[in-house]
Amino acid sequence: MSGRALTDAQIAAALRAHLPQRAQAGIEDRILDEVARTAQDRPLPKFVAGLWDADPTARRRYQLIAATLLVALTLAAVAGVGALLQDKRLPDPLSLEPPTDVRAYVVDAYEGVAELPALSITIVEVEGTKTRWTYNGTGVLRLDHYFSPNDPEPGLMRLYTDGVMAEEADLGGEQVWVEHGQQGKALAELAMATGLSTFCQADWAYVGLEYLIGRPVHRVKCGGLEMWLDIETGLALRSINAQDPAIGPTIEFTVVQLEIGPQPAELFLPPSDRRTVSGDVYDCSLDPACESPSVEPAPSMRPVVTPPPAPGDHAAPSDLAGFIADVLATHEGLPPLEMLVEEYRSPFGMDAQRRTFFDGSGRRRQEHIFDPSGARPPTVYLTTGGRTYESYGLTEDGRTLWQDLGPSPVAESGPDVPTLGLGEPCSEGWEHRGFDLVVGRPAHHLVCRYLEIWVDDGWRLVVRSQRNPDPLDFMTFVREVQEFRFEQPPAALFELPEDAVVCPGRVGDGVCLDDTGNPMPLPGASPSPSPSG
Amino acid sequence: MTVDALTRAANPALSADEALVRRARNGDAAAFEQLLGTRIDRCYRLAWSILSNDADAADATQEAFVLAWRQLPRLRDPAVFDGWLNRIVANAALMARRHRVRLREVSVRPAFPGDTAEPLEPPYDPLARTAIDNVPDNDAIGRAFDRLRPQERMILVLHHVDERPVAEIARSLGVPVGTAKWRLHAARAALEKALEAEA
Repeated sequence: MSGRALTDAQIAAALRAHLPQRAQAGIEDRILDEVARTAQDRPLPKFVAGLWDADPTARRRYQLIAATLLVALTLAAVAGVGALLQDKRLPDPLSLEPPTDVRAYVVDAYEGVAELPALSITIVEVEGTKTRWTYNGTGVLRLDHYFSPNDPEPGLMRLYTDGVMAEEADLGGEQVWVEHGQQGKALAELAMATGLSTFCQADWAYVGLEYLIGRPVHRVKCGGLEMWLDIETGLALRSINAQDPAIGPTIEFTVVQLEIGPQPAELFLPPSDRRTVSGDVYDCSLDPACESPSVEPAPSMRPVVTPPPAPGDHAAPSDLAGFIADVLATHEGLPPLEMLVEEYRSPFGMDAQRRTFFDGSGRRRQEHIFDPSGARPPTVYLTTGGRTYESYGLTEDGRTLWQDLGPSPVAESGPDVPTLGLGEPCSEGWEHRGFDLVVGRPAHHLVCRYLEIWVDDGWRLVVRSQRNPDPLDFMTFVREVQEFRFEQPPAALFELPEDAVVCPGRVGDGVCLDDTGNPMPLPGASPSPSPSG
Repeated sequence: MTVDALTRAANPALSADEALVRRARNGDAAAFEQLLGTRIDRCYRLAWSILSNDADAADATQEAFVLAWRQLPRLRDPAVFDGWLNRIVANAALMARRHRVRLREVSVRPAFPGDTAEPLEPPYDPLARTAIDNVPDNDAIGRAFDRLRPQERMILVLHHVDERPVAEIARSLGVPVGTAKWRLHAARAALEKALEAEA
């Protein structure tokens, strides 16, 4: 990938400027008129109603329960027959036993893909294409993509290594070998290609031991997702993702060939008669306005620095769930404060800082800083007088331009100190790993699988989070409090500047835009709203 | 009590919304009006991000809200209302887009070699900007956004503009959270690449 790195806030600000802020006038009335003439579909009684739940995920859960009951009845009925057939089955290595924790089994299978041996595998997407993947066992994955399952020759060949995807392409009439950088883990591509997925909002269920292409597989199911997991490799030899038909078609992959063992080394070499060019050069060739490939700033390759252990004795909470509830509640009712949070993604960098000021009574200022040198002003989000405004630089005559984002709901009137993921569900249960020093103070170190959270022992605030990559991912996302003060910030920080120009709707480059995207005459300087108290 | 439930309990606005969903589910049109009032801009924006057109976005939004009203009694968990609603809106917009594309395939096919059909996406003018700007402005990002596929635009809007949690986005799109994260990453990469072409 050779594009320019954008920060979250840059994307957010640009998209807010680009997209309409308000629905077309009159829609709400039209909808309410229509609603007044429309009867609701009333549900069926109790359990049966679940089978027709409007939310597809919940509906699948109930359908799964019903199916499970049906399966249980069926199993009971055929138990005798099954016993008679038992002696005809292969004798059973332990791995053929049903997994006791299906969800954990699926996660292990997914993560195990990172440790695959050399192999080749051919996958057919039903009513789609055919792909053949070859892995050399040491980090190079080859894809041969057939645009139709019946094509004798692949239409596309790619080589994946961790972070790089390379393929043949036409560059001004010359066939070249293009290497695109900043890609993900190579084997993540293979996991995705088979439809192997770990996530399901319903409960996982074990369906049974089956055999596909002569190999034993554990068939598991969760909602509309069903997978046949190869016991030896963990790969899905078949997967069906039955989305809601209204959303999209069912996606079905079937492995038609799997061979484990060394693969010819020449398969993993780029074509010898092709010149190698970077993704930047290739992308530039596609862009008539590009005179020379962009020179991107080198990634910071920033390592993750974990906090040191806190000296001294500290007592871990005896009730961890209660402790987490206290911390979340603390975040809801904070006194005046100022804090600076730094965020970065390792190894590629993409750093940003967010400075928050809160007056303890509903007024908040957040500065999103993408250029710590100050050469580029931060984007400011100001909540004051019950409304939120976003800064948009200067008008042509030098006044500061703001967009009125509308009323600030009660839920947004707090300091918005982020919980950095502590509020996320953790099915494994949080684990207390001791105490570390963050911003020079002891902090509880909590871990839930790949997410680590540090909670200040005295403040009861989340002061650091670290989202570690799973074995098929590569980036670590760190957010850490750099400065924190419980003190009343200057009142002026919570007021719009006297010369502020406030756009009621969309904002363009130094101008306000009307609903059709055309520049509007600049309104006069807007008076600062009165303090909300 | 789960952490999720604790979070909701600590957030009165969420609980209030859930109460509104319950009332609307029981046929209370006034409660539905309140839900509509606080969500219509966001839903319209989501539809617009897929359709890039005010009239179509308005139709899709209207269709989605009426469908939501009709099916609301069958939504058992009020806590998932927003993800469910986003999904209905996205679906209505995607269906409208498919319909529009089909119409264009039939009606705007070039009559003679050399004739050009109306493009499905905003036209790309390679001469619009001739210098690489190190600090991409909002307009450039907006133009780059217009180059993306509807699904990419949709997930960027849900995440970056509406600031919806990834779990809710996953529910809105009908995909696992891991897939939603991957799609978000891919959409962001596509935007950056499109921005490069805009420069």
